[in-house]
Amino acid sequence: MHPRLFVEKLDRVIELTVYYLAALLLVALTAVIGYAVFMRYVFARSPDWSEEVPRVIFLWLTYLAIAVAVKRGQNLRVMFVIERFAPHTRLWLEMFMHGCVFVMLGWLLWHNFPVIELNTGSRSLATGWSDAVRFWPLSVGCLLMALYQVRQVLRSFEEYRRGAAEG
Amino acid sequence: MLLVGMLVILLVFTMLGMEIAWAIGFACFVYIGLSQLTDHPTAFVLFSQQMTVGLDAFVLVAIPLFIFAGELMNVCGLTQRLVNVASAMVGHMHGGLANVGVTANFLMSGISGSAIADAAATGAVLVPEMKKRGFPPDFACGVIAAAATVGPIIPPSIPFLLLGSIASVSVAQLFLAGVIPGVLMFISMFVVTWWICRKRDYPREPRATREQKVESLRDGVLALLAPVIIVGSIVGGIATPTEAAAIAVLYTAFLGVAVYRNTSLRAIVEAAGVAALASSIVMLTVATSQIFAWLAVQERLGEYLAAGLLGMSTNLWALLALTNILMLILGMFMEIVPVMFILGPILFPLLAKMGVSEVQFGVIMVLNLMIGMITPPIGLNLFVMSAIGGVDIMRIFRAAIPYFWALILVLAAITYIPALTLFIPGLVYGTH
Repeated sequence: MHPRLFVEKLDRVIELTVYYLAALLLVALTAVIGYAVFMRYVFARSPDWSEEVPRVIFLWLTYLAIAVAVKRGQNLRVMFVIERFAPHTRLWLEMFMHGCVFVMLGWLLWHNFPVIELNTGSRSLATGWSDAVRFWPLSVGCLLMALYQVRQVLRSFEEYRRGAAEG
Repeated sequence: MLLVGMLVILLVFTMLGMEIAWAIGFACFVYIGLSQLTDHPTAFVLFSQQMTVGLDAFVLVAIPLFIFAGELMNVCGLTQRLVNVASAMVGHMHGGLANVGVTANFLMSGISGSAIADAAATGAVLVPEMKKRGFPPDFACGVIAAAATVGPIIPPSIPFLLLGSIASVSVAQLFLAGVIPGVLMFISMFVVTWWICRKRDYPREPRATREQKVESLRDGVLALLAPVIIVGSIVGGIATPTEAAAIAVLYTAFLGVAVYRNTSLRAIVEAAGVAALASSIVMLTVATSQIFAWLAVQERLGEYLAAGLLGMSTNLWALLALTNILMLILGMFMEIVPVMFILGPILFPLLAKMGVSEVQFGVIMVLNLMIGMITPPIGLNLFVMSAIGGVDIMRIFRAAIPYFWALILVLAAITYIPALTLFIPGLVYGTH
């Protein structure tokens, strides 16, 4: 297989895996909370983990989903100013902003490791899980988002070249 | 000085088109970077830690669930059913499909709790139809953009959930306090649409027969029950807002799978995926906004703002007018989540000291920010409708100006007549 095709296929597999993982986590979140309500009213016994597990699922779901949202360009942004710039200026502005976000993600990732380390030793009373499980999603999310920022930079260049070629 | 720099970076990068959540995060990042040069540097590790800790609250878990419920509404055909109910009831009156849009948004607001989601759902169904009937596209988009602002005022409401966590106000009481203002918004926008359409002679729908009305109501009754279940379970103490959100999802999925029989498991998972992406964007904004608000507190923004407001007037009515103007202006330039996180911890205690109920002020704040959603340059409902209708946002805004003034009138009413917000919570909880 051509390396470019392989990378594209890998890219698609990663995106779909993360997307469906996030979707299933949201379904699981609903199921877990629904189960807790059911247990409370039917068996008068709410599970001890009824708040903690949803919170952990929610953190993973958020940081996985945001990576896919970044890749798909689904975001809240104001476009009418940047659209008025010339294509060349716009390209460099976009590059600059992707660069800023990339540096920030790197910083977040780097400084999240001490937080994970600090929380690895402590355990939650209800589930017995390490507290680090709450802090890992940010690192995983930052890594994926940084990857997709690089991809968006490449795509912006490609679109600019195509636009320039088409005149 | 650092605070001014942080605000300037936020505004410049937002206007240049950086994603709003990242613009807020980047402003914080630069602030922390520059603070290393001062005598009191802020540790970078706090930024990372806060990105997780800021989201680690059970009440916030309700947000993806309400968005999921809203997404399932579209998949299961509930949106179409509510539009049919609205069409059968008001389509023949002056306003035609435009007032069907106002009414459908009012009915939908009882389930999704998000103005953007409601605008997207009803806009996608109604704007193409309105164009076909001969409504000008800018008016079609403007009326739906404005009508969707009622979504977060009628319970359930994502901004009320956030305010509950920001200002430690009872979410159930906020939900109840939003009912009368929401009805007032609906009536005022309905009247404005009726008047405009009558004046311009816009088309009306044929009058539905009695059988058609009964049929549409029978078809939509289960969808109309959803808000009763959601709000009833919270107010009745049966479920927390997060549990009520999960119940809303399960109820909507049940309707799609077992009652209407038009929803597959795969469709539910797809809806969950769409909802997960939409909610993650909101949550990222929540996370970065909390850091921004925390840094603003470090820089004593609250003290400056409070001193500035009290310096202008100590009269309560004047102070309420000033806070409204401040929130309207900020709402024009910022997304609602950062404004709530920045102003919430400053304004709630300030006004509470002067005797304003936190529940009443919560509704006032959210209505101000909803008005910001139909005002440029950063009016998210305008963006959504621009994408759906292919109309420039300034043209949509111009078409929505009569609605802007109608909403300002409602805002003035709830600001100066506390009973409009406090009557129902008082009735249920015996407070205020």
